[in-house]
Amino acid sequence: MSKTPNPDQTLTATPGSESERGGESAAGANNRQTRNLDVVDLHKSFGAHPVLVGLDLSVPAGSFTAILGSSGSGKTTLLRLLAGFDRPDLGTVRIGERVVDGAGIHVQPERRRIGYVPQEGGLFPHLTVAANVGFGLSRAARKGRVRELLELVDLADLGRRYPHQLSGGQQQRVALARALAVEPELVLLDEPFASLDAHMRANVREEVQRILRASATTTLLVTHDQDEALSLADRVAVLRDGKIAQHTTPQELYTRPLDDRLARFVGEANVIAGVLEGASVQTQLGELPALWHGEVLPTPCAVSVLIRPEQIDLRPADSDTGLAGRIARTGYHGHDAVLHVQVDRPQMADHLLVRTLGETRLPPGLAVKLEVRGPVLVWPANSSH
Amino acid sequence: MALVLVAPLAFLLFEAHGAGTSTILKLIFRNLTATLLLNTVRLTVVVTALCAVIGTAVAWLIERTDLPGRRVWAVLVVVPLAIPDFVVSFGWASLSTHVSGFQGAVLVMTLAVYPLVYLPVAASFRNADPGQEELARSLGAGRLQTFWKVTLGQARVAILGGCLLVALVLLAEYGAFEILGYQTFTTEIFTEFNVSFNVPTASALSLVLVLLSLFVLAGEGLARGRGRLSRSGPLAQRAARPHRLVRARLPALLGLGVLVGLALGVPIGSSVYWILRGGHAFLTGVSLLDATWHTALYSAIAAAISTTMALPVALLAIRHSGRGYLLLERSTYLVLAMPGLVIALALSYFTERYTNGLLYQSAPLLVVAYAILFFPLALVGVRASIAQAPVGLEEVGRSLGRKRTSVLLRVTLPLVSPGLAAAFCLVFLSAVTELTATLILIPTGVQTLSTQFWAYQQNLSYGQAAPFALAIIAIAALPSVVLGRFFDRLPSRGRPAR
Repeated sequence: MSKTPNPDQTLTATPGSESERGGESAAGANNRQTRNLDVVDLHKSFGAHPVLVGLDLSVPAGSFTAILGSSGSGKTTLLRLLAGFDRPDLGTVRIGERVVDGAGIHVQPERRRIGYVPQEGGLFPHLTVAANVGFGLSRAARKGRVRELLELVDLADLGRRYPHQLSGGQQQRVALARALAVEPELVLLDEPFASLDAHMRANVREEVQRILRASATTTLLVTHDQDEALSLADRVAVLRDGKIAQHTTPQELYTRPLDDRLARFVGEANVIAGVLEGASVQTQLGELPALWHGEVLPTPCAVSVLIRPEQIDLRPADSDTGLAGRIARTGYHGHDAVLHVQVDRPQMADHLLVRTLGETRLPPGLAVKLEVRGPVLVWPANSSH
Repeated sequence: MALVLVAPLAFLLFEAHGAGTSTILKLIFRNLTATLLLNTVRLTVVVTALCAVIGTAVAWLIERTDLPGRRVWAVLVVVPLAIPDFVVSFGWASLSTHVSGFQGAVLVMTLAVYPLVYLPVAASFRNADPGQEELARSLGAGRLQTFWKVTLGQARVAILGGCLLVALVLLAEYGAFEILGYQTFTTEIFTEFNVSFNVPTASALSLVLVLLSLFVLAGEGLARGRGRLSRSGPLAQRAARPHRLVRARLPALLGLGVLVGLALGVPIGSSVYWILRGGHAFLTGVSLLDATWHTALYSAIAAAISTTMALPVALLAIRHSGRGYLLLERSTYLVLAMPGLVIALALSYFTERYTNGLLYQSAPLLVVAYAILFFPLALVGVRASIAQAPVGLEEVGRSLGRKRTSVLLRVTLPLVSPGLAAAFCLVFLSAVTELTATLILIPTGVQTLSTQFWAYQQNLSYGQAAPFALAIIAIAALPSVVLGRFFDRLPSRGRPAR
């Protein structure tokens, strides 16, 4: 048995390496101070039902972080705790250097300097757009600042309208302007795009991203939509079983998930068995170069192997190399297609997912050959779920 | 506070107990009780069924068809709510001696109370998802089957709720039946107490009456079941395409015309007729003003108290989902099962006994009686309005840096105030048209519109009674229109975004 060093040391990189901007400075009227957020060991139960169990989260100042979780995973609970609407059972929440929740401390929502944008916007139905945006401002500051913000969100002409006269996307932008009006240190977005229809969603997403980047405010977005999380945020934290399962960049999360459940949760995944020997893994699909988390793994070692559908290339059935198989089903998506391929290996009952560009029609029953492009990610077999 | 509301019931039990269990049992199990029971139940069942049919049919015509003049009809069919049952009764009975007994009571009460079914059912038709009807048709259900299963299914809870109100009103009604000479539990209790001063008999019969009301309340709860009304899909929706009446249009218009004519035209017409015939107007002028003033004063104060009391109860029940809070709220509905007469009896007996008659037949006691009596109505209005101001909006307000009190003033109150106004109107309207409890608790030397009307009516001075009837209708009409508008606009959540 030999110990093999990890060929890809970046996998062990520590999160939160971006430097903190600002730090301590006097709170002035013109102080757009954006802060980092630190959550340590957060617990919250509703009755006998634990929702958050020891959640840790560190969000760098100025970043756009997405909390990704399936419905019922406690995303909204987390946001409500951060906003101060509910009290955690245990744990510490810090915004910048200021503890807002901790031993004996619970800062009221109105003193947290957090901009909260609820699902569907939550505009005050009895107030005009301008009055909504100006809600948190003093009378003196209201006039100029409201105009400035409505211009920022591109709704300068609609100040006199009432919320029900706006489209869903416009309502979202007003809600965002209202949250930004009070110069928050942190902005929380609760599934802000879920209620919009598909083609509008893309526009509003881009718009919101632009506005938030322009304001350079630390932003936390909660969503169940992995596309949204991967495309909008510069960091993604997956909330699972009441804690953060992985917190990293979108690319890292997709290519190097920490376990097979995460791999399947974020995107489509083939997970097959293999044996790691040296720096490569032996599988039914041949010998492939391997990557793994952590520094060393004792070899040989039984592992689970992650192969993303786009890591498999499709070849004609008469090519010299590759593993023979037959297309069982196709899922056509326009820009691409996901093929379910039954391979010629008795041990591999599950179909392999293969992504191809959508230009050619590949009928079910067609014989093909498959070739995997390495390197592939492996986890020790016992760690998989 | 629930204690205050339930106190009359406890008091009744206590009084009955004081008279001795055997006496009470003897009083209950006799022929008179059987007659009263038969009369009361028979009338309640028939009128409730008629109201259910008429109320639902009218609501469907107005909300779901292309009937001409729907907005005008929507107002006209609700206005009978502003006419007290005893005025309707007077209107009919003073015109013809044929309107009396069981048939008379059925006619009068159906015309007087069908809006109690119409209002909730119309609201539910307005809110219900029209997509479900289309879906049923696409699944192969015919027109009739769709109407029966889907349309009525959607309105079921509303119909039951309306029927509950109708049944409770019938159990508690005194004035209308007294005029028509129809004997029910309530008229008998009133006679025993106010005419023969027979307290044990009155309280024994009251017990049976309360039991009957509880029975109705429980029955509605059971029939309602655990089913929930839900909309499929997003709230933004198309308006339902109205059904085309085509050849049924003329009969439908005719039917509505007859209904409004009988329910509105007859009581108002006959009051006007008696005024024209009597010519006593100059005599009643001063006492009319005086009575109007007292009616408005007592009713307004009671409405203010009820609404104020209902606010915290509704807030607790809606914002906190605990069994305890729910129980608190439900206990207040017990008041619904206590006819005004019973509450008045309990209050008057209590003050006579324990305050040395200090508060007995005083203005504060009458106001308190109104406030207790109509508390459940206030709760309905306040509840509806609090649902309009979701907690989320308050939270957003606070996260924008506003203190709790500031959010309350700038967000919650503006959103809730239409509902508070509606609750106020509902109680005010009910107090203005109240007769039974008022007759018992009216302060000495004071007359309200309803008691003065009653006094003249009892003396068969129809010409003198009529102006008071019209004054009641006039005062009650305005809040009833306000109410209609409030419940009309209620489903604002369903408005499409654009």
